[in-house]
Amino acid sequence: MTPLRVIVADDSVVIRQGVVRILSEGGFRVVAEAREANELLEAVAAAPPHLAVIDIRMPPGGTAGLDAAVEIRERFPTVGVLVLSQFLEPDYALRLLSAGVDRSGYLLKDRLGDAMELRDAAHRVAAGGSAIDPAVIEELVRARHRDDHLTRLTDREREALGLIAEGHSNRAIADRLHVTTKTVEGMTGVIFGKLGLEDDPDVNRRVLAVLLYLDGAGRG
Amino acid sequence: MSRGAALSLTAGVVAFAIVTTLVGMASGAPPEFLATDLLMGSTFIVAGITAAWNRPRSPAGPLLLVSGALWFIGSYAPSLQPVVMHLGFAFESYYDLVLAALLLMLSTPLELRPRWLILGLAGAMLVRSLGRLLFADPALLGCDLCPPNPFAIVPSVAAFETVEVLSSLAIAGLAVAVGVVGILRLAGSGPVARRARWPVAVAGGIAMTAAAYDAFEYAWTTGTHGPLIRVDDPWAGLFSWALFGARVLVPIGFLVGVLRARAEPGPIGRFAAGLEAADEKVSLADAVRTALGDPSLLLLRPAPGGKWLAEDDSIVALPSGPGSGVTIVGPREEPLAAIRHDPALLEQPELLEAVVRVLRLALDNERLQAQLREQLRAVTESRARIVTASEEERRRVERDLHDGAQQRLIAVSLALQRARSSANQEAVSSDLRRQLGAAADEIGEAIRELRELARGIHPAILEDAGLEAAIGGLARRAGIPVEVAVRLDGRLPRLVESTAYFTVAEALTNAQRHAGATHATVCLERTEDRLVLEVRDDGRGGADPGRGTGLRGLADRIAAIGGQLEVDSEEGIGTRLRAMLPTG
Repeated sequence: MTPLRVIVADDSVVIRQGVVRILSEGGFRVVAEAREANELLEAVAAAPPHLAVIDIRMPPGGTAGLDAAVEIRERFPTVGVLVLSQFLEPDYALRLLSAGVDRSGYLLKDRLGDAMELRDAAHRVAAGGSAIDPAVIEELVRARHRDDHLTRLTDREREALGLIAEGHSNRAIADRLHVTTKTVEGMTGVIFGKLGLEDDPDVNRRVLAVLLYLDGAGRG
Repeated sequence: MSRGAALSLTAGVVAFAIVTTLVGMASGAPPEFLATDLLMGSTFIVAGITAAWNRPRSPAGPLLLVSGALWFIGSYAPSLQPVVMHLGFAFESYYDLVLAALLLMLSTPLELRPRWLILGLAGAMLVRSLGRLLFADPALLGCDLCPPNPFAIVPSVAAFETVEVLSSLAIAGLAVAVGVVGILRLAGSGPVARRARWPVAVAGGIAMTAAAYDAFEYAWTTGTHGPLIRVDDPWAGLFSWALFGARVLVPIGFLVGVLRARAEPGPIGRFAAGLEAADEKVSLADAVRTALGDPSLLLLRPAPGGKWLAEDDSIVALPSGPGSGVTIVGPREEPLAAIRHDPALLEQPELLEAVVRVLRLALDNERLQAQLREQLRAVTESRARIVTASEEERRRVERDLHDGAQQRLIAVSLALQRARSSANQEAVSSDLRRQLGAAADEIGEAIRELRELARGIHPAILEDAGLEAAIGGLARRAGIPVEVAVRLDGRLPRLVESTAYFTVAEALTNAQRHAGATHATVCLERTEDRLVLEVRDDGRGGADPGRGTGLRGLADRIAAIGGQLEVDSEEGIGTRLRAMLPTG
């Protein structure tokens, strides 16, 4: 199996090298590194990789990394983007997903202390899925917790809903909840029914539906 | 003339009047003549002392007193005492000369113009007096009862008649000229002068007419030996008294003018009231105009370079010299203002001085108010600068935390992660692995805490995505359901966005922590020139911006950018917080 090609973009040398090392040790091939947004876009355009891991804040300033990620999603549909962020702000994650839920990920930088989390998210995004940081989903769920619909869910169902929103497949959810895939499929049907949403066999569309539902909080 | 001098002069004139009356009584003059004569002469004295008392700087008082004295000289003419009778006849109507001088001095009190008119009149009168003294012999003139003239050195009917006719004609002509000049001058003077002096000027005109008639009649009767107008008896006496009475109109006119000026209801009181009402519509200058009764008056403000500015900011030259209508307000070396007015006002120094004194207070007040406004403006601006600076500082601290401390912690976390993965591959004690794991957890917790701290100081999303997104985050993280209705069109100024953000944050924190609310609504609406923000909750209420630092700090922060905060927090009903922030 040919290794997945990755570009890593971060203006901090230490962090960039750390990310490169974790991904390399996880079987990815880092083909380029970038220190700022334009350099990243040029590298992607020169040889589109499977995945770009991007710091949300980069030169020339503001959230240039996030903007670059959105641009890559729009211009290079085959390139996955995983944004590393220090901000626990669902709005940033949703802005990224607005360019397409598939091949998109938003991960908080405190996850870098756990190599497996970064590699798992990178794999999911590169494979065409999505990976939203559990803390972001948690904030959305917590905000929605007060909602009538959401209170109808059992704790276990709510846990499953979070995993769905994070972008996990039924199999991955089954693994995490230590149940069978069949059970997860059943749970998903119940959850969507209780929320008044239509169950969608497509994982990415399912993520979007859940996220949009969750984001409804606070926008009365 | 000082009041003391005026009193002395009055005493002298009164004494002379008494002596004259006694002489008249002794020589057997009819009592009704003496009474009428005394009454008329006294009018001059009363008017003179009143004018001298009220207008110490005006020559009118002394001149009227002198007229009074001159009046009684004529009273010796019918006394039949040889010396005084002829002196009285020779110098009888010199009061006309003084009245003429008074009339000519009305508009320019310190000057007597045209001088030739007065000098001519004085000369003609003197010539006539000398003619009467030196040439007139009652015996030759057919007055058998009259005593002989002791001064007649060269008695001659022809000489007497020639001098009498010519000098009287000259006196008549000059009196007419004085009357005309006086009236014309009144017509051409300022409004203050016109209003104050028309009674005197009209009286003066009538007096001059009478003087001219008298003189002309002398000339006529002397020249033709026949009467000018035949007036039959009971009217003849009345007619001659009327001619005298015409002169008395002048002191009466003076009295009227002076008393009327005194009787006018408190011009200073009205001025003060006018100042109180002075605003954009009624200016300070208008109040001064009304108080001094001079619509043409200009209130001038000093400008650099010794220039003076009128109300419309045009540069105005100040006339100088004595008698020019300029009054400086405030110290001469550092004047607050100058008034250019009708010079006639100089004759009412008390009024002018009182108005200036009140005006000075008003100007001082105005200056202090301007200073206060300027200070307030400076304080307001510096407060806005301080808030802006603190806002910048918060932004910088947030950035430093993210880009500095947090990046370093992430780097440490990466290093620890590497150490752990090495440890996994090597034969190290499970204890060390556990310690490394605990350290990694600690670092992760530190990063999360730092993230919350930075967001509390200044949320990055506020700058990146604006108020709507940032308030959405606040609502999400609030522990209670929060409904948000935001109607904004694009971004607002930074300071407005952050002030609105922290207002909502504080309000939601209060709702949840202190008021025990279970629900809140946030509403933001942008109008043409401001952002209106409202947060309501269903808590227990009782919040007071006067107590506690949270709301007070919020009110200060909002006021610093020129906004207002209203807090309605009735016990048991909930809290409604409303802020209006200018966006212009």
